[in-house]
Amino acid sequence: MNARATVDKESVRKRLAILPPEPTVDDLEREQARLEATVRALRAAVQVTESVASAFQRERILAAVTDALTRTFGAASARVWLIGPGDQCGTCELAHRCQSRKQCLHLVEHGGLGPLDRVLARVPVGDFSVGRVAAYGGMVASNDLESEPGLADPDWARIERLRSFAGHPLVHEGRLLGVVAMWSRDVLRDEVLEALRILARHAATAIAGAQLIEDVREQSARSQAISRQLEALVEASRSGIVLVDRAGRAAVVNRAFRGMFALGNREVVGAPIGLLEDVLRPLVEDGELALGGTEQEDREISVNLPGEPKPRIFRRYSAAALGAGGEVVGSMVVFDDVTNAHEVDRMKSEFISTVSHELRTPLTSIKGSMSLVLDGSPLDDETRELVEVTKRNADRLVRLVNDILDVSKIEAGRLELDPEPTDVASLCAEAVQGIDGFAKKVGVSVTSLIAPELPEVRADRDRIVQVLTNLLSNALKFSPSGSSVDLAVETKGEMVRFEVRDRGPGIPEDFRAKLFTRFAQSDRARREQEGTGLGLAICRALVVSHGGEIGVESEPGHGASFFFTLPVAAREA
Amino acid sequence: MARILVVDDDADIRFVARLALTRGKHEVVLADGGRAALAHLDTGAPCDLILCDRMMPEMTGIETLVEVRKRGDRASTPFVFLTAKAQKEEIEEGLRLGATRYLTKPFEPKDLLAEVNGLVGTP
Repeated sequence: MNARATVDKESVRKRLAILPPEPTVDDLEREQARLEATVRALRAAVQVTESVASAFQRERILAAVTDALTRTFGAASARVWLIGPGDQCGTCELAHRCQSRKQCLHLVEHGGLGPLDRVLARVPVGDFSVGRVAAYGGMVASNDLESEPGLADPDWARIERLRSFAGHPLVHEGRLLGVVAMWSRDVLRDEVLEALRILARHAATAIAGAQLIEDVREQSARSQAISRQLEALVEASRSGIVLVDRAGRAAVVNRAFRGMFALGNREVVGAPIGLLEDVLRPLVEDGELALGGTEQEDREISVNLPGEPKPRIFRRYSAAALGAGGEVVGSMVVFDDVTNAHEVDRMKSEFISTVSHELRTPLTSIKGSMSLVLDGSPLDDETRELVEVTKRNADRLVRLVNDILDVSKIEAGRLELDPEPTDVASLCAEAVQGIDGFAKKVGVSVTSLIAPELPEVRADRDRIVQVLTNLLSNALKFSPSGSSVDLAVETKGEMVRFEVRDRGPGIPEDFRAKLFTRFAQSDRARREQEGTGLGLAICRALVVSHGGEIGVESEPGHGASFFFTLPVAAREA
Repeated sequence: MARILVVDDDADIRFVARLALTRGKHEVVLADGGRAALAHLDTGAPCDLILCDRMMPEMTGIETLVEVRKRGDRASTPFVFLTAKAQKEEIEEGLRLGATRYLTKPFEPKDLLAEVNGLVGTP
């Protein structure tokens, strides 16, 4: 027997419309009493619905629903389940028959009698009475629980003398949110079922609304938390940070920035950025603060703070601040205090410079003494050789000291060049003459192939002679005796190209890449113990500082060709 | 033969310089610092050339140069720096302050003698 009674508006209207024929006074009074009860119930339903719909918190909505069902509509037990993630699938006793994996009905509110079985805190869609309501999608009701044991725990129903059940899905915009259900000791009359239907519809809307509000609230709390964390980060940063909004006002000025520019507690947030710049400008020794700018490259500024003997050096970075859609909403400028780094650099350079000078003094005595020995009374061959070894190695140490000084200057960015228009031919002649002795010693000739009528180059003469000498002596070092080294010079557009070619063994490709780095020496160069390993690194720095390029071409077995370029000197107007 | 005052706080450098110059037939007086050099000059001893280090304790070569130039009778005595301070700006500074020549360490004894001879004449 099918005890499920589904009710809709039509049937309610029918029942209200059908009156028994020729009613007696008693009939009429009974009917009137019934109608009055119906009106009371529906009025109550409307009232409850209003209070439900006006609540914005889910808990209050749910409590109002179960309250209404127990107090106004005579439910012995009223419960609400909402669809949620299957958070107990691993331990759920119903897992083996669950069809709705990962989602189930969670008991979230109950009024009147409590549930008998804890398992019912989670109900799979399609299972038990409420699961059936959810799966069916419409109202399920019965006034005969005895013949319909699936709609309530039979023991519970017997003990509590429960007689009827009605459950209605909570559906909002076609989406199943949950189920509201009631059990009663009385027959559930049509008006009660109608009230349940109205209640369920409005409760669903209210629950969805509350959920939306909750989501928005959570999201806003989350973004507030993130924004607070970011604010704390910016505030705690050791870099000075200023954020400028689109209106050109200081939106954020962090603690480090206040400290770096001695702003103290001065109120600057919200001030036009130009005003803040005006306030700070007297402190800046050189360079512009440009707090509102994003276009400049990283650079350094010197800042004189009151009460500080020396200016502090700040490195300035900037970037555009972008909005959610990638649009520019302002800019940020960041300052790092690099005073200490500069001081360390300076001390390092000074240390190297001092050490170099200190090394020079004993080397002077050694070299001078050896020269005086060689020039003095005649020596036997062995002694002479020993003295020459000593002198040669002292010379090598002197070269190393000179190179280290150069490298330290280059690294500290303190390589000072004095570029002037310089005649190329005499430059080359000076370098070739300088290595003439060495060329004769190794039995290699140097051929100058200098194009006629070369323009002057912009060069620090001594430094470029140093580069040429280095490349020529390298070439000589690796040339077989009897061969020749070519020095070729020609114009290439706005540059003059110098090339030193040898006929030595060439340079393997894997070594070419690191050739211009410090202490990169081939095994052979290391064996010969002549160079310092710094020469080409210095050459590169010198050429690059002149605005030129340096490189090497080589085919192993066919010699190597080192080249560099220098800019042509601008013609006098 | 010229009379040369060698000023250097390093005894070995003084020794090498003296040998290089005496081999060139010059007469050499040694001073281990600016004060000793000035004391020697203030005795009125004849001196044809001063060869002086820069980095010395108590009194630097530059200070020594300035003091020497204050003495009217030594205003035109050739004053030659012989120093490890070999950077471009250091050399320029020495010459600007009145040094006659600026020689850098390490030096070849032959070259030193040639420079000195160039200033005082070959004996």
